[in-house]
Amino acid sequence: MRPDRQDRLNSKEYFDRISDRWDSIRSGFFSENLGKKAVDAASLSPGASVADIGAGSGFITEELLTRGHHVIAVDQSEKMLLALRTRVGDRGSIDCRVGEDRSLPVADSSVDAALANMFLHHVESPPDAIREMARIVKPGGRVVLSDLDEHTFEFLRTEQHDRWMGFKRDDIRRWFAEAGLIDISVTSAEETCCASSECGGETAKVTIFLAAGTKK
Amino acid sequence: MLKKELLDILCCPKCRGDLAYNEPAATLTCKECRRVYPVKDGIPIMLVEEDKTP
Repeated sequence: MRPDRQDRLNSKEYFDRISDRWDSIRSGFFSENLGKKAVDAASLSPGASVADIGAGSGFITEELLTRGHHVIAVDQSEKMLLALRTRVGDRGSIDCRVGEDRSLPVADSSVDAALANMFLHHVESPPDAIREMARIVKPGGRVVLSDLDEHTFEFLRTEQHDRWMGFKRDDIRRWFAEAGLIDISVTSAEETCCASSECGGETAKVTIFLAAGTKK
Repeated sequence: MLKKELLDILCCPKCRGDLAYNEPAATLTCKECRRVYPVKDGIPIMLVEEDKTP
């Protein structure tokens, strides 16, 4: 078994295992404001179709549904999506599907925007994942990512199966450009992610960036 | 039941072909490469089978 496949299974197993608790674990990490800022950055028209990639328990999805958008929620964990759908109930228009970052089950140029929060640090190849998000967005649509700035907290990698210890904003900008996106901005989300280690009481406080670009 | 407009957005993750929905069987079949994907509890499981070769 290749090591990268093992990592992917570990991440999937982790989120399958904690699917019913993830929303309460997650809620301590960052404020609801982050979701609002990410959706603002997508510059959506009313009733837009938006993909939430790595939707998890639906942090971004909830904000999109509140604003009346239609959501296509993609996650590698079926259990996370079941938990999300149960939580959302009939509060909005949502379509869930299990899929992977390298090959999203979404047609080319079919959604008005693709958003992903705290998704990129779990993927094997960040540039490929960004290219996939750009692929599914209609021309003129936005790709919006929020994730961690580069950090040194090893326990996030070992305990929460993060694959990347955050990112350099210059790398993000370059990957957006390589994916054919224009009007790229990578700025501070003016939010921090606070997570505590399960053992030893170490606490991570990591700043969050917000990246957005438009498909030509 | 899957809505038609959602089927239009869905594609085969392997070859990006269009999919045909078989409601009684709860499957989606790619019209191009013929891969079959299950639909569990209304959620399409769009995973490309892992390469089994070591």
